[in-house]
Amino acid sequence: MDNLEQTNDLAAQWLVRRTSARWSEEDESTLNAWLAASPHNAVAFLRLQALWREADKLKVLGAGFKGQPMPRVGELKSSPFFKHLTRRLRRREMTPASGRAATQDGEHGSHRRPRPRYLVIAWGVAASVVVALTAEIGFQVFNRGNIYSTPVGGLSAVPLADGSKITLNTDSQIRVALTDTERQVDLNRGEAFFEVAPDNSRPFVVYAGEKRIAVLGTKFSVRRDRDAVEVVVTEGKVAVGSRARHSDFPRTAELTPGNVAHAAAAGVNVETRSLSQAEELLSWRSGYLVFHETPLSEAAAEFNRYNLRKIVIDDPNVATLHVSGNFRADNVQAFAQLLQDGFPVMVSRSEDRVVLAPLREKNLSER
Amino acid sequence: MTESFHEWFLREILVHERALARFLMHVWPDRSEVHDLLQETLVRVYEAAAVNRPTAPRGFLFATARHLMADRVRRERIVSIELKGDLESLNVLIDEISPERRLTAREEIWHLAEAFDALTPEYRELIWMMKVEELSQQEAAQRLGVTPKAIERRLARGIRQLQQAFCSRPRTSQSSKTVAEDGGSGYGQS
Repeated sequence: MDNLEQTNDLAAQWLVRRTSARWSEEDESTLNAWLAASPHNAVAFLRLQALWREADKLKVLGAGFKGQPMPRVGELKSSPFFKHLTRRLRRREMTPASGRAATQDGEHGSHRRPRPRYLVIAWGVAASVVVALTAEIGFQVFNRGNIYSTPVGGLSAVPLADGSKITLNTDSQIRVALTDTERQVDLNRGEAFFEVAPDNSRPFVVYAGEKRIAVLGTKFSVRRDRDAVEVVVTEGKVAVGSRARHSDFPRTAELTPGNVAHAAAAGVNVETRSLSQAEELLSWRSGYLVFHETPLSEAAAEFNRYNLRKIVIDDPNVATLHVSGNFRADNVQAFAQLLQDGFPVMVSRSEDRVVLAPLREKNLSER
Repeated sequence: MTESFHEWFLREILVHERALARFLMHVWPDRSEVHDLLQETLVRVYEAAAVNRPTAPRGFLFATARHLMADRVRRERIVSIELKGDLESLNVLIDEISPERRLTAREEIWHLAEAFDALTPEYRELIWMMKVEELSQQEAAQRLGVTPKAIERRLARGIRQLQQAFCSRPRTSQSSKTVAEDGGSGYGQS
């Protein structure tokens, strides 16, 4: 039907124009008049609107592709998201030419993801055994340096005089002190990514609570949640040790690209990941959060770091749902909408919170 | 046409659009008419609900589709044993179809990925930018080095193509690649 096709084309143009920056109140009333002119117009418009919202779900498949070139045709379907999908659906799709869909690695198709290798470095912290890196620092600088911080949802770049660059994530604070013998940064809270300019005469040292991260010239991030410290290395070598200088247990963890270290009071746990996986942990630098089958409780905690409007989970069953996707860190709204569409979850919003509760059976049958 | 009615229509009726499309594909002998039937059904529901919102929207939607098909069969004197048989059992089907035949969220996204992959490359790229990277139209225009006006046109065609691939043809793939690359008005139904 030509008529129907034309109406649909027009509706698509309206839909697109309405989300453009040039949309005016006058446009709005013209659109309303067009919608009111015929139910065919209104239905065509609403159908496209529904479809366009549905297309938000592509975000779910976006994990692993952000910052990479866009996935090639067929690659999306090898996303780990479809791991548990029934054979029937897959078989229908599998043609000999698209054998790539069979690889486990949903990210880039070219290489298989190695199983994370866990390498636990036992690290006693009894009073008698102090873990230390006997460092070249003579003393600690406490009351010197410049302080930089970001608010919740903030992201800012701090260029240093030595050519290094620091990117501060949401709700973070650092103090920077450059001396002749050392470049020292204290991560007081939050997360920062460091691109360190090489300078053999002045080591670059990051302190995160009791942890000391020393490098020469490299790229890595440090995140601090009180005493828990996470270090992700994407280039060069990084040593993670303790802040305490005097020790007869001079053990540190040496990290290389792809390593992710979790340091707590009990020791350092080093995971070896692919570089692209490690880089995914740093997707916050471009404003994104990436989840791979992440428990909803963790995903919500991540979102809450970036937003004043907090996600609150009301139920243990909801907390353990697993989510995947590539999300804009500041778009809680889109995340909540996808949860509501895809899971037995009921979302209620108020000014300062988004509450996730289980969907009751009665509601479920209506969806 | 209050905003809330449209929201209601989106939430209660259009969520079932794909299920309805699958159902129509299943029972109506001529697939090329399904898109038209679908739109017509939705328009009827829209008109009726604007006056009085049904309490069981999903059932109402499928019942409307059934009436519409029955009308057409009568009017056009289509005699199809196959269809008749199906029509008579529709009452049962409609009630049975709901939970069991509904696709899981994962399957829906699978179909979405399928439709997305069937898009012409330039539309595919643009929709990816809008939906996954969440660029604004302006940002997309800058990145692609074209005018905002050109982005609007491209996006409108891309959305239409996605609709063709996703809604009108839930069971087949590939064929939508033949849709005219330059857009125009050539979105015929194949």
